[in-house]
Amino acid sequence: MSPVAPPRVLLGTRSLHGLTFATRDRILDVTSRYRGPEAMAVTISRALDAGADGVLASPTPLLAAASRILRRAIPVHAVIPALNEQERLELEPGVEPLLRRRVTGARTSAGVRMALARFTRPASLYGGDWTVRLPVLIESEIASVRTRDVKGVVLDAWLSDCALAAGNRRLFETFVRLVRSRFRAAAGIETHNLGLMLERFREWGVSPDYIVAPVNASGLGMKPSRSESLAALRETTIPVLAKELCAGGAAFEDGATFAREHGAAGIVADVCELEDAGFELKAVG
Amino acid sequence: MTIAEELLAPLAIEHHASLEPQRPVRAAVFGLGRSGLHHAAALSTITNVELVAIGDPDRNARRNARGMGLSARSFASAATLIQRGTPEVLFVATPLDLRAGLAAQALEAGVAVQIEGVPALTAADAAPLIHAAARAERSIACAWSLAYHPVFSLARRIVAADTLGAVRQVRASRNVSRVVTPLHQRAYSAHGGPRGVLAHVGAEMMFVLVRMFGMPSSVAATSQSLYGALDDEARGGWTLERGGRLGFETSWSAPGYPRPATVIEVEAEYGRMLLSEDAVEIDLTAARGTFPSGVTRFGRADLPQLARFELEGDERWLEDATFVAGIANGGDIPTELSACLETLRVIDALYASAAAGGGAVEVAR
Repeated sequence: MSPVAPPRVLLGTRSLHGLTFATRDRILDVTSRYRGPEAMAVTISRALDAGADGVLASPTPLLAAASRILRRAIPVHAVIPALNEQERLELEPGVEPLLRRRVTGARTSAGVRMALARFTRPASLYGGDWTVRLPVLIESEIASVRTRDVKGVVLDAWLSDCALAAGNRRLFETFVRLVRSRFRAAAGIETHNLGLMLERFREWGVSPDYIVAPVNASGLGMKPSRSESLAALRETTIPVLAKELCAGGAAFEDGATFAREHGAAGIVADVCELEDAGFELKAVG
Repeated sequence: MTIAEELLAPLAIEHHASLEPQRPVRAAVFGLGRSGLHHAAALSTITNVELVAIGDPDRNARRNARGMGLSARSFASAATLIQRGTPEVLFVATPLDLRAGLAAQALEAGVAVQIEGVPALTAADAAPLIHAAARAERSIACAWSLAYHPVFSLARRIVAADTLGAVRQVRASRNVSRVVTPLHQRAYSAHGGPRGVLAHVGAEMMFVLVRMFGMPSSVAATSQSLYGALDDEARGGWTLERGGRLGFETSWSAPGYPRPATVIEVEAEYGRMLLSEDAVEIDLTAARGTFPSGVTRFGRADLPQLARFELEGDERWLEDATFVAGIANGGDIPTELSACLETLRVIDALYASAAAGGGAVEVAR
C-alpha cells in the first residue's frame, strides 16, 4: 500500500551531481550558480511557492544549508546514496565503499539508529550483501535530514541500474518495504533503463511508489529504445516521474507536455533546465 | 530525408547489424572493481550473451559482486575461472599491472580477451599478446570507450568521407581532474608502471586522432610532473600526412573536469569542425557531399541511440556489445589490439620525445 501519492512536480538537483544530458558549458554555469546555499534556497522557495511538491535531491550539506536559510519545511525526496560526480565516476558500485566514508558526521539520534542497524547487520557477517546492508546505508545517508521532512527516499541509478542488470529482485523488494515502514515515505527508484526496469518489475511483482527516469522527445537516456520505453510507460501501473525533459534541446514546457502526454505521472524539473523556477513551474504546474 | 537522416542512416544500420551476437556467447569477467562490475552488468543485458563466471582474488570484491545480484559462478583465480567456467570471452578488469599476464593466460587457453584499456603496455609489451592471439586464432581487444562514443564515431566518418578536404590544422585536448594530490599519483604508479597522463587519459584521444587523421611518421612532446614521478600534463604534436599540423594537450590534474572532456578542433580546406562529447559542429565554406554550406550541428540527440542499456553513458555497453558481436559474428572490432598497436607506438614515441626534451622522434612502424 502506497503511503503517499506520487508527486506531480519536483524540483530536481541531479545535475549538480553530474547526472544530466546538458552540455558541459551549461553544467559549469549551473554548478557555479548553486555553489552557495543562498541561490539554492531562493530557487527552492520559488519552486514550492509555484506549486512544486518537493525537492528531489541528495541529502548534501548544500541542501541542509539551504534548508536552514529558508526556515520552512522542505519536502525532500532524498536520493541515496549522495554521490558527487567524482565519486560517481570512481567508486565501485556497492554498499560497503559508501559506508566506509559515512561513519562521521551523523547527528546523535541518527547515529544511534545507524549503530543499531550496524549491530543487527554486521559487516563481518553480511559485508558486501547489498540487500542486507541496505538499511545501514539508508540510515547513514538520511542522517542529515529531519525525518519529518523526508517525503520520499529514492535509490540512485548508480546502484539501481547495476542491481537491475544483475537481476537483484530482493534488493528492490527490501528497499520498497523498508522505506515505507521505516520512514513512512514514498519509495522511489531512479533508473536510466526505464524499459528494462518496468519489464522486470512487472515480472517480479515489485511496485515502488514511483520511478524516476528520463522521458523526452529526443529519446536521450531512454533505454532500451525510445519506442520501447514509451510503450512500457503507457502500459505500466507504476507512476513514472519524467526527468531530463529538455534533453536534446527541447523547451521546458514542451518537454513537460511531452512527458505527460506519454503517460508520466509527474515531472522532475532540474535546476539545470530552469531559468526562473517560479515562473516556469507555475506554467507547467 | 533530412541531412541528419541521410548521413546517419547507414551508420545506424551498420551498427545495429553489428551489435547483436547471432549465436550464444559464454562470457566471464575477472576483476570485480568498478569497471569489472560495469562489464558484468552490461554483459548481462546483451542478447545471446550468458555471463557464466566472474572472479577476483579479493574475497570482499567477490562478495560485493554477489551482493549486486550477479549469480554467475565466482572464482578467486583466473586460471580456475578459465578452466571451470569455460568462457568463450574474458573481460579482464584487474589492476593495470596484472592485465597483460592474465590476457596471455586466457589466450593460451583459447579464450578471446578484452582488456580494460592498455595504459600499462608499451608497443613492445603488446606485440607478444597480438602474436599469442594470432596463434590461438582468438581476438584480443582493449576497452577504449571514446572510440565508441557516438559523436566521435560520426566525426570519424565525416573526416573519412573527405567532407572537410585537406586538413590544415588540428587542436585536441583531453582533460580530467583525477590526480590532484601525490596520493592519487601513487595509486597509479603502484599498479600502472612508469607512465602517467599521456598513457592513461591521453591514450583514448590518441587512438581517435590516429584513426581519424592517420599515423604520423614523427612526433614531439613535452610533459610536466606535478605530483610525483609520472607525467601529469603533456602537450605535443605531429605533422599530418597531407602536410597539416596536429597539436594536442592532456592533463589529469586540471581543475573543473570531474568527467573526462575531449575537444578536437579541425581547420581544413573547406571549413572547420568542432568536436566534443556534447556535439560535432561543422562549418563549411561550400556544400560538400550531403552537407550544405554553413554550420551543421549534431548533438547526441541527433545521433542514433544504439546502446540498449546505460551505465554512466552509452559507451560501455556499445564497446562490450561490439566485442561479443565481433566474436560471434566475425565482424569488425575497432579496438582490436592490433589496431591499437599504432597508437601505442605513437605514445611510445611521444614519451621518448618528452624524455629527450621535446625533440622530434620517429614513430616505429
